[in-house]
Amino acid sequence: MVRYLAVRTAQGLLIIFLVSLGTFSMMHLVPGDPVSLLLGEGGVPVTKEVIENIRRHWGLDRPWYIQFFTWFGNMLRGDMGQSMVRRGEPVGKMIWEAAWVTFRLNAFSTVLAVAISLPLGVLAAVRRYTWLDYFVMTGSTLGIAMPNFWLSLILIILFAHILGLLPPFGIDSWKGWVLPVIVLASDQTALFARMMRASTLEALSQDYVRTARAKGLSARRVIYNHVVRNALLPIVTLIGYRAAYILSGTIVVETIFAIPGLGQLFTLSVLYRDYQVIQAIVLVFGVLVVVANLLTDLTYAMVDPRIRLVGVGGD
Amino acid sequence: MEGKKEEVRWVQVAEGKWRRISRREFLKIAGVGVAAASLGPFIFTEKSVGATAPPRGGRLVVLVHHSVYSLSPHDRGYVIRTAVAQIHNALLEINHNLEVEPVLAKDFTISRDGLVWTFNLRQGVRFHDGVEFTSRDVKYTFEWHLDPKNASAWADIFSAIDRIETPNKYQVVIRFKYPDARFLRFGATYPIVPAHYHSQVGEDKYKTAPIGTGPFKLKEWRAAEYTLLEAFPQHFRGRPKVDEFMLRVVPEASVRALALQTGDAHSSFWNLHPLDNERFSRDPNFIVFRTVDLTLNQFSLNNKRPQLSDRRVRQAMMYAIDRERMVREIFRGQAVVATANISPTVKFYYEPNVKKYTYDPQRANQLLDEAGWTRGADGIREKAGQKLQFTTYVISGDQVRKPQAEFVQQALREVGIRMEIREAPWATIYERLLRGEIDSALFNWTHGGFDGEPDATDTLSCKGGTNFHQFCRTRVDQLLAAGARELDPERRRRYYSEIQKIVAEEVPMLYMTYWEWFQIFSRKVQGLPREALFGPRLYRLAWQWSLMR
Repeated sequence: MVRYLAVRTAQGLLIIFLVSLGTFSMMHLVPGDPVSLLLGEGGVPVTKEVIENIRRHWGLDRPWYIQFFTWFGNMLRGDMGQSMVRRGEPVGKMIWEAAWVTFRLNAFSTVLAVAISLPLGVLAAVRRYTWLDYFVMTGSTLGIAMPNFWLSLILIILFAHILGLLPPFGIDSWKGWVLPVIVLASDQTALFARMMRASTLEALSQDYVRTARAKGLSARRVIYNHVVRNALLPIVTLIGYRAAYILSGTIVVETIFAIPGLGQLFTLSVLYRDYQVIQAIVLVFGVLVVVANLLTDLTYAMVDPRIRLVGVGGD
Repeated sequence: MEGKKEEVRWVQVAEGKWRRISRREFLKIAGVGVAAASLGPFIFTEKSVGATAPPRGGRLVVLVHHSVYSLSPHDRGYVIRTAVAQIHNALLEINHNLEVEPVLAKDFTISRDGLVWTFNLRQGVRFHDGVEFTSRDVKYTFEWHLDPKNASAWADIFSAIDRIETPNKYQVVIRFKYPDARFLRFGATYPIVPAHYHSQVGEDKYKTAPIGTGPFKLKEWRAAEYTLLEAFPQHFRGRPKVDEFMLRVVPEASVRALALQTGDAHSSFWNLHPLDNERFSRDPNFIVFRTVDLTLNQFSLNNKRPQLSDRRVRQAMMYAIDRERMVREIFRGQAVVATANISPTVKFYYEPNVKKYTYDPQRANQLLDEAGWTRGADGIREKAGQKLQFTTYVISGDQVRKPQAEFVQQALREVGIRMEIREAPWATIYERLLRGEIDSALFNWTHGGFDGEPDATDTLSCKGGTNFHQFCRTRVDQLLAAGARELDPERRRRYYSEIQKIVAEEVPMLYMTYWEWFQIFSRKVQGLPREALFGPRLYRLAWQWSLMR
């Protein structure tokens, strides 16, 4: 177990290093740097000399690999550097604030999605081809098909404008969280419910279920102990896998509801070419994905005792 | 050598009210436009004249579209400046009619040779920390930009300064190496920071914790979410009527519209979708200021490319594009057709008598024929084996200008020119244009006229820092140099009017339109001016506004 963890951690670190290097070189191989953004749409004049002086001041005139190793060196010492655009604040603080918002947004919506979708998926499978099954399946098709953008606006019009119950944007109070969490949960719920239904159906057809029924277990116990437990495996994979999509998944919702999360910070930073911030976000996500994958594998072992960690040290 | 005679004087006729003694003379020196003259008596504050006193208190919420990433005067962009203008004041400020208004300066004089500017400061002005504002702060603020170590983006604006003297606490004398007319609207309007504080914390820290003399002071700052300011009771022009001023970041335009409707916000600084702009303009519950932008919407053209270097080809393109229709169909009428590089909003320097390009495809074809470009088998013109084609870049994801580019693509196709459209991020387009690596790009950029200052050295001179068009004419360079050093507005006007005529003749870029601003206010906001020439500058008046309950 310890050896397995050590190997996986080492692999993870290598992946993170390569991802950082890749992002950094890609950002720098495309012409253009953040200085162009300091100028807005023109207006107050700036000479070439002034621009060159700013570049020198920020070390942007040095070759990209030197910039990379400077950055990486600082990183190892725990210094994420400074944003080019929001210079007064350390990148670490900016990212932490934004990440905490995005984390909560995703945690709430995933919990909500799991809480709704798992029972629905199981029910739909057990009551296959009844009105309930059709309802769940139609609902989940809608949930996946409705674009988040559109759904968000419809919900704002309904709950903020017409009913006046919730604020149209912002997360000043708990009320502000309701709509974005619902929107984010909507397609996850749909996805999980479909997945749960399918895997429950598959589990139901297994021999051990027939055996369990044959030995006289109650239907409830068969479902709980044998079916659901086995059917959960793909869902766990799916949740772990989705960690990699948190960023792209929340950009739209964060933008519409004006939530200062990581998705917004990332898009803006790419737009502004704010290297330090982009690098730091990529790093944080690299770590997140590596850890999420590791946790997924560990959870497998807990849910499914057949998967043993002892034997996989050599992978 | 003190200036000979005082040529400009502003006097305070009542608290917050300013009157010019000699308008004509001031116009001469400062270049304040005809606009000012047409507005009648020159009184800046709009006092409510209702029978009851205006309500006090409340929080004024203004929506912006991107994060307020800095609160320092050093940083640019309309959103930043809107926040900065609440916290700070400048010696002179540009108001919503693009006029120069003395604020921290009581009055000022410029010597006849333009080399000595003397500012008499207001007395009894305090910074938010209680320290008195004096000439030392002015000297510090301006000199900071001159130190190369500070890598200031404003270095050029202050570069003509030889030295700054402070004979006493309330007088600043700026001596110039050479006259620089741009200093009036770009330098003297730079917000003053407190010397004792800024020098101690440094610029980076200052960006997050500014202290000024402005009507509002910083209460809470969350760059990506909101910037909350509170009334500064000791503000020299009186305490603001509202208790708090909040800039709220809402990136999505339709959500900003909804927030105005629900009453969660009182104003949207940044434009909404065109349909919403129209809707609010008709809605009696809202007041909308519709004004024309200063920034030119244009296709830059690399004038050094062989197929684009012939003036006739560039003129032909202007004739081939039906810009009236473009304004109607692409911008829903929320833009005006450009006549050259300066916006009609800059009334004093705007030159209407230039070569005009009304839609005339026949004339376009004729010009292209004259230039020796004949139609090939595929309908695209060619000359000596070269096709008349070029590539234009649009900023990735630009929903507004992409259709505009397609509109032009179609129009040029009709006269036998092939324009390919590609997308790239702005930073890349910027860099490659300046290196002369790409033919053309579609974006908005000021070509003179910002804050009413007509200088366009950056974009139109051979060595300009943002000469996207690789455009170079000796005559234009001479005019730009002369204009920058000429302090008499009447004489200055002649230079810039000739520049506009040359631009219209030479077509360095395909100048398309000037977009319109829509600053939308709820009727609950009281004390707004009746008119504005330039909407984005309205918000510096926020301290005079009150909120109806």
